[in-house]
Amino acid sequence: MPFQNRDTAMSEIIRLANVGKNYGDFRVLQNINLSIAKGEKIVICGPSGSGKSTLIRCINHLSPHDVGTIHVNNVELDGKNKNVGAIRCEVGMVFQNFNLFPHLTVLENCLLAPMKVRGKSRAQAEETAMRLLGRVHIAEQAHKMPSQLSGGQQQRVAIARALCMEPEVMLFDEPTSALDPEMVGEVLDVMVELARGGMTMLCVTHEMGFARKVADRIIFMDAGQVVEIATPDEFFDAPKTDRARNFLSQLMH
Amino acid sequence: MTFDFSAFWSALTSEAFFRGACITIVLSLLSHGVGILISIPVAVIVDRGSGFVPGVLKSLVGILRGAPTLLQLLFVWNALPQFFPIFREPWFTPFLAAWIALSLNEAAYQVEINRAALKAVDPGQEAAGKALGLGRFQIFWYITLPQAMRVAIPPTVNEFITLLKITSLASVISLQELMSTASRGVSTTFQFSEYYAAALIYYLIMVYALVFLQGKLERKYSWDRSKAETSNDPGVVQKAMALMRRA
Ligand SMILES: Nc1ncnc2c1ncn2[C@@H]1O[C@H](COP(=O)(O)OP(=O)(O)OP(=O)(O)O)[C@@H](O)[C@H]1O
Ligand SMILES: [Mg+2]
Repeated sequence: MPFQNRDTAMSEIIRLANVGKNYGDFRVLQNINLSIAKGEKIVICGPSGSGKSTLIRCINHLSPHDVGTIHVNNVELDGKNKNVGAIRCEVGMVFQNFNLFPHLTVLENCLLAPMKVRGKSRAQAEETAMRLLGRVHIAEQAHKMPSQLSGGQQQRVAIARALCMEPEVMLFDEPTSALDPEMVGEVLDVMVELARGGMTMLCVTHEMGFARKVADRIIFMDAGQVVEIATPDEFFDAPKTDRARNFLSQLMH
Repeated sequence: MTFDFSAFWSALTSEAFFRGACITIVLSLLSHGVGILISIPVAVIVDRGSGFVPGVLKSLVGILRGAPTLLQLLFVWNALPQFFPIFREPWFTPFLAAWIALSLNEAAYQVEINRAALKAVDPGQEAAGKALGLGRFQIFWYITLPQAMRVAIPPTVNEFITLLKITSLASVISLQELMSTASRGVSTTFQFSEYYAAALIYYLIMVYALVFLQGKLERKYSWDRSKAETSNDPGVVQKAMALMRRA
């Protein structure tokens, strides 16, 4: 690796410059510029179809961008397999529908990638996995199948599974919207703990209590663009744009 | 009308019947094995893309599924040697010809089973694998394939049972499998019921063994509560009877 200025290398972990993406004629993302510092917690919100999922899926190349550049940890996401692989190792992701592997036990879910991608031994991987399952308060379920767990438990396993790769950044795409209301809290608690531990996090969520509690910045998106970036207090108490005001008033009802 | 039990018994325990049954089961296993090996990559290619290669493969599958199996057997046995002198050598036996014809035929059917099974796997599984940094092949091998297999097992075993019975067609290219062994016995002694009953016993044993194996496989690949707890599963006998009725 070339010599780099340690300060900028340490502080900025994700940079999007002029990022755009189209599906045919439809512009899902336009001119996104974003710099995210290590340890920062970002909450992304906006109306349905505004491109929130697409934006965070660009960051680990699940939805490749067409225009602009994305750097993660100073590696450019240029579609080369080597770079994509390196970035995916550093970027964990939690999905709305959990996407646990149903044919593997909870523990095996957590072992697969560390062993096959990171090349860890089973013993090493298991030690990490059990520690992280403990951190999401589910270690005692390690030998169950995912289908034997509640939604909230499954989502906590999904968080642990992503953490087992020891990523630098965690992406969350509406992690609580598929959950029954009584299970939302247990998942948010885990996410708050993770935030307190210093993890860099990008969360698409409409849980405004969570946003106020942990977010350093809120990104408000509409129609494929970043419309507003503000601190939670600014955003919730005094949104600058009409579109954000509309969105917030709808959210209250 | 009498049933000559001793003739039945001696047919059942004869070396000829045992050999015939072995040829039937080995031919079925080899044909289905090769068929499955061919069908998996073909299913993936046909599903992934539109273009020249998937187009050609799709038409081939269409031809193989459309043509009667009997025609395919006769074609491989009689027509291949006309086109390619290499197939005129003595090593090109009826067994080999049947193996080639049935493998291709099975592959065509299995492609459809595999495609349906692969489609049944939630695309979110692949996304989760990618997000964890797993490569394409790793995702296929560790995530997609085991989940698709669960879906594919019942129709695949059905397909195999059908194949087991279709091997009897190979008697037209003078392969001495189970059915032609029985027919040969009948043609010399005219003891229809005795010889056919002996063949039936062999077929039943083979099918029952398969159904038993299917149950074991299905249990191995059942990972949700509902599956693991099923107790009102139809018994092996009912399943076998249902399957025997089909072909
Ligand atoms: N594969 C695709 N092909 C075509 N259009 C797509 C595809 N994926 C997403 N879109 C469109 O892109 C737009 C943005 O989608 P995206 O999923 O990023 O929105 P979102 O903000 O996450 O919405 P939601 O709150 O409903 O999850 C939507 O209008 C959607 O219909
Ligand atoms: Mg979304």
